[in-house]
Amino acid sequence: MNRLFEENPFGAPDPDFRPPLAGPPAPRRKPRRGPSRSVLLMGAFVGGFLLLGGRMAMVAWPEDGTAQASPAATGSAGGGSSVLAQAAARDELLPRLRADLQDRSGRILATSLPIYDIYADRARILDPAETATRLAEVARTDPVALQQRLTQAPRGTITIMRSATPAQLQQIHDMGLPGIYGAGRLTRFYPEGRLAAHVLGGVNAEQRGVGGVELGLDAYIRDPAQVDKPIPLSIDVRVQAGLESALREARARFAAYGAAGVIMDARTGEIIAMASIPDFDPNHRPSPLALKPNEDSALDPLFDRAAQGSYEMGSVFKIFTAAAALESGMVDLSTILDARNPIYRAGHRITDYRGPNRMVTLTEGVMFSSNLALGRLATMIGHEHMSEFLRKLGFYERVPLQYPTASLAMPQTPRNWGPLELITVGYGHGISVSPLHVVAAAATLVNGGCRVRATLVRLEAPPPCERVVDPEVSVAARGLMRLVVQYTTGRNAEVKGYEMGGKTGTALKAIKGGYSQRERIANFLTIFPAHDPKYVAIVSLDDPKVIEGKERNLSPTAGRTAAPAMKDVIERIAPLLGLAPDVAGEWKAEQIVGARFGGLKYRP
Amino acid sequence: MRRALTLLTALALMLAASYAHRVKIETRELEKRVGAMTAEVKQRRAAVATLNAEWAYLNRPERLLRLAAVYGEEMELKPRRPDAFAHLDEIPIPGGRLISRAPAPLDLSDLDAAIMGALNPEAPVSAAEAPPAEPAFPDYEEVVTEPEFVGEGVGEGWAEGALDPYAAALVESQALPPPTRSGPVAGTAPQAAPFAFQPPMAGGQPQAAPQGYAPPPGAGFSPTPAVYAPAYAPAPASAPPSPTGYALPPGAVIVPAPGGSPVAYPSAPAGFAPPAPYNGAAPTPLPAAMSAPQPVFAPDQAPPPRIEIWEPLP
Repeated sequence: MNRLFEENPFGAPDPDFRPPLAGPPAPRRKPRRGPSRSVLLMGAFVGGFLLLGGRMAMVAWPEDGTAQASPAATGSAGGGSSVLAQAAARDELLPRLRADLQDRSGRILATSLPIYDIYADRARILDPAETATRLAEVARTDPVALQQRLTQAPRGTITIMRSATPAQLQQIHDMGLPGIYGAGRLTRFYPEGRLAAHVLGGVNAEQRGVGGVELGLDAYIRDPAQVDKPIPLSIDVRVQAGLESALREARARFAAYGAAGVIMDARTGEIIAMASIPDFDPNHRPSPLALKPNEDSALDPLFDRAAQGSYEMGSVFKIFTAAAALESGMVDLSTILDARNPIYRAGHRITDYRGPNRMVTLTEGVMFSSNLALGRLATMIGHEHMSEFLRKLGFYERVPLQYPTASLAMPQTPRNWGPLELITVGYGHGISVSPLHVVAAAATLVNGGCRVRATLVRLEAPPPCERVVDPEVSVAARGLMRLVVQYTTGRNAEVKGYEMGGKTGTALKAIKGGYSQRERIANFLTIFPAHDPKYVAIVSLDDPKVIEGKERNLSPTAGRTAAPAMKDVIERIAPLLGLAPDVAGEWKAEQIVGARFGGLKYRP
Repeated sequence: MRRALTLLTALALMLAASYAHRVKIETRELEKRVGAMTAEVKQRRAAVATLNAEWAYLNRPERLLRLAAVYGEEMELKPRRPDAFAHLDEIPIPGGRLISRAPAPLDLSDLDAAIMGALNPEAPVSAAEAPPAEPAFPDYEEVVTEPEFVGEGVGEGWAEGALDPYAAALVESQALPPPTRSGPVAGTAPQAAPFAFQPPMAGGQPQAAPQGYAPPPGAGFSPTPAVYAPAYAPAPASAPPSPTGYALPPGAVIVPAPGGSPVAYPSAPAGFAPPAPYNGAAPTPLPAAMSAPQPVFAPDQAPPPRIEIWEPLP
């Protein structure tokens, strides 16, 4: 600036001269090279889209040959914790809450079927009158009342019909009425009807078991992880049907109050069939009867006489007394017992009903079912041996069945073993157990001595043998039971060719204050084939009477009532169990029993 | 240059955007398809479950019993009862037809007379040398006649009044008391095997008895060189026992009775030896009261052995 003033203080202004505004002179703008801002921006977008597209292609490209659907398609949003989400994950329309139950061959015993609740959204109904009229046809209700509900109820949803079938839902859907919806759910269905009613039990409205296996295995059936796998029970539907129809006919033939039967595999303990008549339809399970305290609980059809009822089994028990005696080592099959003189104990007099009335061997005592002989035998061995043997056979605890505990009979054994208790238990009147107890104990006794635990679930392999009874005692018991069927009270039960062994038992029913004078429980226990039993069965008739035939009005002993009923049962079911009759191959009792215990000794 | 780059970049942008959009659209289509297929799978599964339940409902025993009661006769249904079982050797040979009767036995006690009789059939034979009279069993003749066969097929079309050989065979078989396990006549040693059935040779010639064959003592009849039908020979003691106790033709296939239980498992628990099964060779001795002798053939009432030759029809 100083220089400029010195050269020409008042000269002509320079045309290129611009007075400086402020600061240093502005730098010359350089020529631009490289991409412009718009190009950069576009490049950024291209990069972004390529990145996005590339990533999408990577995700959508099939890996390992399988297409990966997005999470939205499978519907398991949010971890899949809701029931609907689980149902959707299992490819099901409606959430399944209970697993199917099948019989041992895969036939369906209990399954789930869709059912719909029809409801209306009041806000969306256009014409309540027409809606009510048309819906009332399907719902089978009063159209006027329905119209009133549709118009006057507070806003919200109104249930029009519960438990509509899919066909009814389709009918309502085809009407095209706005505001009417159906909510689906699965309900429990028992296709076999009344068959195995007590075994299956039933469910309530919330799909929870209320009896039988449905309640006993409820936690397992409702387990969401197992709900797709059907549970095989040990029941065989054909054998169950044969047993039930035979029991119904026997109940009618002998005018009995009720009947019960159990058929069990002697080695594994699987219950092939278990029935209690009268029964019910588990599809419409009745509510329990309100009984007065002194009324018989067996009036209720829900009462399971086979597993729940507790009765004194009578002479059927004599086989266990004899086995206990042989197991103790104190007696032989030829031990002589007094069956002539009555027993007087603790103010009671015990006699035989048409007994042998002489000195008998142990064999004959069981054959002729002598109370005196077996009572004295029990006294000979003492209560320690007796109670220990009964404990080993499972008579001191509930049968470990897949049933609710409240439905299983608790055996009533003597609290204090006095001399009278020992005698009465010896001939079968001092201990109250269920028919299922007797069958399980008989299976334990005759299968070689392996402890049998009753099960309603099919076993894939036989359980390991837990030896509780000497195998030779088991063989002796088989021979004794074969004798009863060959010669004495079991003759009416014999089906030729199946080598049946058995034992009858008639017990007076215990009512309040003592025993009834007339009412009886008639039982027949059978094993077949006797030399190597595969099956054990029992039939129990509640208060039978002989009303037909030449034995009419005679005393209804088990040999006249339960034994023919058992014959009927075996004729129906033995071919279904895969057994063909082999008349010439039947073993006699002497061929079954070996030389141990001296061999069977009886007067034929 | 700058303009080309700008255009190129713009083009690339459009391509990238359209590719991304296309992928999105395709994915949406796929999702729709997957959703539709999933819904269809669910519906089919529900339908299958309902059909299974319906099948079980239609097959419930009470309904089948009801249907069997109504249509059982028409469909010739029979319940599976113990009396519906039979064993293979109790069935007479199907289609068999009686064709001849074996001639009277040769009496070889007097060889000369036998030769003379054979050479001169018409020559009169003295009463002392005449062959013994045939036993007089009036029904024997009837059984030997050939029944009329008017129809085709096995067992069909027998003329009325003609004797059904099967029925006669069965009636005869039931007339025999069942054999005991200790041999044809209890208390004696087991017999040598009687002449066993062999299939007839071509031409239907009767077969001669083997050398040294002698009738069992006390039998009361003289068995001709007989061809025993398999249903009537008593079981030889050394042969394996058949379930019904009658002899089996050699080479017969023994069909085991279905005695197995549907659940197969080892039947002998560890440490347990079951009693030895009865094998027919050494029966367990019965108590004295049990072994009352039961003769198979009472001396005067022995039914004759059957001498038919059964030939299967072609």
